[in-house]
Amino acid sequence: MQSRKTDPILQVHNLNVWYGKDQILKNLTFDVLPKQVTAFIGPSNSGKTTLVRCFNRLNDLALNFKLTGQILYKGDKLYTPKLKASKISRQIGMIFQKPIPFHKSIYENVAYSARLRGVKQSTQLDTTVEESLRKAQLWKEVYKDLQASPDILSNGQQQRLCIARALAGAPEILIFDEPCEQLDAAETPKLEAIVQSLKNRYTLIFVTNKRRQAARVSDVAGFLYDGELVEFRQTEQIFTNPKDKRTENYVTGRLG
Amino acid sequence: MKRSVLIYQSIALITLAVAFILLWSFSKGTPFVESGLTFDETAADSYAVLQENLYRMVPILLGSIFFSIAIAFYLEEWLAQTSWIYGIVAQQITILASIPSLLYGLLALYFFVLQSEKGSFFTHALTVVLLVMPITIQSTQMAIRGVDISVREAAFALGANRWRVVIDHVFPNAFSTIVAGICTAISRALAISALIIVVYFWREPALQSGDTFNVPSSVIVLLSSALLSSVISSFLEKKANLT
Repeated sequence: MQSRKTDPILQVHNLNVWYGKDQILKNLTFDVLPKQVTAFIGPSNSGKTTLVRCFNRLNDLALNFKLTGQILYKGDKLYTPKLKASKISRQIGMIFQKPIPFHKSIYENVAYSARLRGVKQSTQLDTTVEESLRKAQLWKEVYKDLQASPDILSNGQQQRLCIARALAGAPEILIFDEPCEQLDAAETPKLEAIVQSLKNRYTLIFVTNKRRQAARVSDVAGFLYDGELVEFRQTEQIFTNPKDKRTENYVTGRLG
Repeated sequence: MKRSVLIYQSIALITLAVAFILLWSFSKGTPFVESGLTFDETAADSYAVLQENLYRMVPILLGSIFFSIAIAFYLEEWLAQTSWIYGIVAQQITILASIPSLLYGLLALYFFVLQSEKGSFFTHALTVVLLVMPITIQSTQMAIRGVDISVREAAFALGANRWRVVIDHVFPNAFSTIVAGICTAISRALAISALIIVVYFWREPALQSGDTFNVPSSVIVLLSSALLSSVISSFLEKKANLT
């Protein structure tokens, strides 16, 4: 059992990504282990978002997107013509910078992703919605009126609703793409607490440009700079004992 | 597609069409602008034919609206914008939509009125289709493009496929703008129809009682529904911009 846990869930090998003629990611190779928080830090425009969007194949939507190298998800190739992008994104959820609730009720928002994976029974939907909202620590605030529109919720509550919605789809991996960027200071610790509580059940990938946040939430961290993965190690080591000069400059605040 | 190319092409097309209509009317020896629109059919019959034709156009109208929406969704959602088919189709639609509706009116006049009994069902249908489809396609395309990219991405990230994203998110979000565009197109068609009936009525002495000029009731109905639909359209557009 112990050895299985350390089998990487995502293996990235010589990943290069272009948008048109601009090379965004340069020759990345690393493994993501399950049931951990893996953070990607780096200044803006260093390719963090592009990298995580490769995992759920959201980049496929962009024009001129080109990828070489290999990404393996549980040992299987992620980029093959046979595999549909929608199938991947059902297993790899994503939370965006801006909370994006749909124009449906709170209940329907969460139930939407459960329905996508084929849950039809109303009792099963009810339990999935409640469970997901509880995991996202939003249940106590909204259980009285699940039919309300998400517009009445605060920004932070909407972001937690998006987390609940992603969880209702029963993903294996959850990607947080700078989830606190638009939240106020009081909401950020709540979100970090959720990340910690989800850690033992899901594999989490956390993108942030806040150094201290990465140090707080993650087990493993990668430092991206200008499309290169400069360092990829235990978070503690990256912050206390960086090997590369650029990493040191970044974590001490002299760069970016 | 370069803007200037589009403009030149539409100007060329408009000039050609105007030239065709003018040449045709001169060759028949009937000065178009003067009141000498003389014909030898029995008037009352052809007025009934005209009205009947108008009613027969309703299914064509609905069908062309449906197809326009389908085409717009196909162009925007399924066809890559880099493909050459997209470029050609989008260009032709832009040209057709930018032709003033008056010109379509003249064409319609030619087919409906001046050839009211010779003109086949096909030519009538073509006029309606030309009048309605380009505008509806264009406004639907705009409505689809207006849907926030983040909503799409959020749905894709949950594992929805293209169909689900379109049905669950793009269509409901774009709906009121689409309807507004349809209303604009319909009001254009209705106004032109009213114009044709007035012109038709004008030249048929048999339909006028004495010296007074009676406006046919169908014209009033057409014009008021044109007005109504443009009011609905502007209301929906306002509502779409607010949300």
